Amino acid sequence: MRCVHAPYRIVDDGYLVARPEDGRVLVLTPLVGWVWTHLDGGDWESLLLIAEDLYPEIVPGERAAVLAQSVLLLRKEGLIE
Amino acid sequence: MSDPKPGARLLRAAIGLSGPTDPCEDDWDLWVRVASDGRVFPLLQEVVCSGGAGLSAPQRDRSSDYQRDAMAIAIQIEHELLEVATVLDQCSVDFAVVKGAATAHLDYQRPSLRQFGDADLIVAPEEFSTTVAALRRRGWRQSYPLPRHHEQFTHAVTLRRGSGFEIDLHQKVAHRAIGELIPTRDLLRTRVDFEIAGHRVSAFSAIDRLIHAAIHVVGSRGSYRRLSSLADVLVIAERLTLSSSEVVSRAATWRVQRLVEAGIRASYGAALLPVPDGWLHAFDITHSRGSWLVERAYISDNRRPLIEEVAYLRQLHGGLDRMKYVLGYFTTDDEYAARNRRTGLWAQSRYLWSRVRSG
Repeated sequence: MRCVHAPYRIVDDGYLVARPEDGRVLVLTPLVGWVWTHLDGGDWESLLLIAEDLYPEIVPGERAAVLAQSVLLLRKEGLIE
Repeated sequence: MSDPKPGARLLRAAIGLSGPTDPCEDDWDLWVRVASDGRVFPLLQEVVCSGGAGLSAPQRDRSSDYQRDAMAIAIQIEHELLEVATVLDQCSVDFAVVKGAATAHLDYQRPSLRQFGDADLIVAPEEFSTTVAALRRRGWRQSYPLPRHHEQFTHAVTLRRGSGFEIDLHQKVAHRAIGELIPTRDLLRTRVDFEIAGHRVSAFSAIDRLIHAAIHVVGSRGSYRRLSSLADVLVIAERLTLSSSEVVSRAATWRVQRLVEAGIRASYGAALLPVPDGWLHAFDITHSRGSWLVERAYISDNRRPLIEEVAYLRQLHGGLDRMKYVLGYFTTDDEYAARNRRTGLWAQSRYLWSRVRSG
């Protein structure tokens, strides 16, 4: 699994990304945006650690679920393959 | 005359400085207007984040919305730009991304500080017509017709595909005489690589980016001189203060050092900041001859279109080119006539005279 590169900007409330397929603008939350930009190496350990930093109040199991949801969203929008 | 302080404050935000004033609830609309005209909503957002204590919550929210809208446009333009870059790569055409789409990534602290409304690329004049043809085959169309036989003289054409954003394809770095003084091949020879969304593209070297930004400022006056262009000069000039002599020497090889000096002085002036000593020293020690006519045409507060044209004719090589250029204005084709609603010698003469008079 790897991130599909696309033009993006980090703004106040997340990531603006031009969808690879057609350039339509997507708004990703900071976590989903971070997951997207760090997926290249498939480094799940780091992803779980950053999720711990971003969402310390969420138990590890739920954190994994949040990451899984992020991945599903990214795949749906063509941002990972 | 409008208050220069909001513009100065916005420009200073590009280089991480504060002062000379900050926005407050009462003058917020003025700040929005200045940022909108100058295409610097991201810099307005910087000002709001660091010096916006006097603003209401809705005003702060609006600033954030403006920046988000500007960045949404920037990434869509980059999406379009990468499609053009892919076509040029497939055609093995050397090119460079210029202006905002390059400076955003290479010169600003982060890309989200530079707003832009179109993308600019430059190719060598020898490859210009084949590049336009390749893009036409893939659906891009010229946004406006040129006067007949002016393809070789124009510094750029604007291309658009469907309802997409505009791509300006340049063959020269600036309008008319300035474009003749600075050979595009020289600029392409020293270009540097950078990435947009994982795609390797090129831009001018930092020194050439500053020269280009400065002459762009000098070449665009009045409402055409945007804060975004002035900010480019400031950001790069601040970075290159230690290389100021190198920049001025490089500009002198093309006889545009006085134009570059004027652009740098104008940018610091607009930010209400003194020009750093390093730059003043470099301006003082470079005494090579510039192009008098070009300097006369461009170093002035008001446009001097007639002198611009004369300076351009002077720079063109040979009588045939000069004649083709002048005649092109008077021999309109159907597309040009339909678009501009005028045709024939008399209508074109009146139009050109009105352009000369209006400046």
